Amino acid sequence: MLEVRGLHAAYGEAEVLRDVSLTVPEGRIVALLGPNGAGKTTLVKAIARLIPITAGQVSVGEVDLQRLPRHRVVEAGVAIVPEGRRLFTQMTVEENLLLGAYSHTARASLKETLALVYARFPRLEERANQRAGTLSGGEQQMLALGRGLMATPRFLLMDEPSLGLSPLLTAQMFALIEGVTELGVGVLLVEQNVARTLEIAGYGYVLEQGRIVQEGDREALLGSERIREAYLAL
Amino acid sequence: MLILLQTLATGIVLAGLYSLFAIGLSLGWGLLHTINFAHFSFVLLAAYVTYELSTAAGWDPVVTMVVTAPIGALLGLGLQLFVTTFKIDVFGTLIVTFGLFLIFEAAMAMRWTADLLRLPSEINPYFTSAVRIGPIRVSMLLTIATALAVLACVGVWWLLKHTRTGRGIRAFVQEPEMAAAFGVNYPQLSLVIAGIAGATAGLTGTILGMYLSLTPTVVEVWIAVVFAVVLLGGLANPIGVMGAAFVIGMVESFTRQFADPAMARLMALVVLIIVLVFRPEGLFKRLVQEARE
Ligand SMILES: Nc1ncnc2c1ncn2[C@@H]1O[C@H](COP(=O)(O)OP(=O)(O)OP(=O)(O)O)[C@@H](O)[C@H]1O
Ligand SMILES: [Mg+2]
Repeated sequence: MLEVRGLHAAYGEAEVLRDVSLTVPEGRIVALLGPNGAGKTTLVKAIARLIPITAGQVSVGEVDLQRLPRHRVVEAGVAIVPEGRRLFTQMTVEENLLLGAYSHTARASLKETLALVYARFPRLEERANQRAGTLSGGEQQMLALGRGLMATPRFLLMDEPSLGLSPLLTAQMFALIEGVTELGVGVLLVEQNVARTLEIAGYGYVLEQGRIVQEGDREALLGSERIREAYLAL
Repeated sequence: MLILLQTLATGIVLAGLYSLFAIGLSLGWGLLHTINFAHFSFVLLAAYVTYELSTAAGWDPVVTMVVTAPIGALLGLGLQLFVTTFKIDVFGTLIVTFGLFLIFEAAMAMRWTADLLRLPSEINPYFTSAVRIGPIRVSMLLTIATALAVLACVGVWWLLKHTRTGRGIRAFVQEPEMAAAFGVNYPQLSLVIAGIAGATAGLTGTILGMYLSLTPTVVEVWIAVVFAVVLLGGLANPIGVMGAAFVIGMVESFTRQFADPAMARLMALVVLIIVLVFRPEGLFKRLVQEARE
């Protein structure tokens, strides 16, 4: 279980997250919805310890992530597929994947994980020696997901993985995300594509101006006025 | 024809010396964001250590490398710890290490005075003997320097390209946040690089201790040509460093042979300026480019 409790975060004086609490169970997809600027990316980064938090707690099982040095968060089981992909663009596809398995925990099963990722993304295997920066947008997004999986995470934080993808690729991406849960990985999924997201997510949270304003399972969210009006344009 | 080959050979071993001198500086700048002016002080200190161990303790000067390389590595580590602890930026490191350079210079002047110190030739046969390849002769000492340079540059290249440590460092230079998120412990890896860079300064010092008459300011005339190699070689690109040193070494060797020997060093800088006008990024590309936000 990935648990966030009473989390606050700020950029300088401006408080961006206020008292955010949420839970991601293993093997489930949890959606994080909200308008632009709500603080979704900030929340993802705060969980991965890429930015400091001002109050609150983030834990995986018994492990308090705040107590770990930044580079050990991945060993606790949290990997990230960040907004804008942020690949190591000058390194090859395979080097990016190997870097995904950099941690001590992931390195033990490197060969098997690599085979598994290549089986799921044959495109990446074809282009193993190509520089990541020269991949198409869709391929880059797959690589970002593949890199995240290489860390053998228990929880994957995915920030707008369908951004900029064609409808066909978006459908593929969502199928791949669903596939991730079969590995027992819990996914926190930030998405603009709310309709699609609520097809695969069992539970969701709505973040507005840094606060969780609503949460519930799929049916509750689909039935809610706020969601229908603001996010589904029904 | 013979003279041409001889000039070529001299150029090659000069290039060896220059790349050995420049590789550590290039690594520090390109991977650690440290423009380490004190690299020159580390080199000179190592040269004095070689002098002392060979004259006072009677060591073979080449063997003093087993001492100078670790000393250089420790100095490199110390500086890197300082830079990391106080979070000094690139420009800051230039100022701090320039200060260090002046302090070292003053300290060495106190210890060894401004007199010329030269290893007597009976304990330094490497300086006078030569390696013969057919009719061509090259300095034994510079041949040793070249062998060390090739070892250091190819070794570093292999480390960066083909090891987990090297991948971690390259990833961090490009995307620090993501590298850390996947487990790269940069403070630790940066010490590896700083240690290697420092060790090459130690090796360079031993060579120079055998090559020059030492004074506390003797490295100053090397600053320009070494920076030329660093800039032309593409930062943190070990193969580029060798390539750039080759160009500079050849220019120097040919100028010395066929024009005015006094112009040799100057010509190397003229080449630097001409190249940088047309190719500001140098002759070779940086090994890793930082991501631009
Ligand atoms: N590095 C930063 N420095 C200062 N303010 C920032 C920084 N990053 C984000 N912010 C601000 O924090 C707020 C939340 O940003 P965040 O990126 O988390 O939003 P988001 O929900 O991910 O939006 P989007 O859907 O557009 O990606 C915004 O008002 C943004 O301007
Ligand atoms: Mg965002």
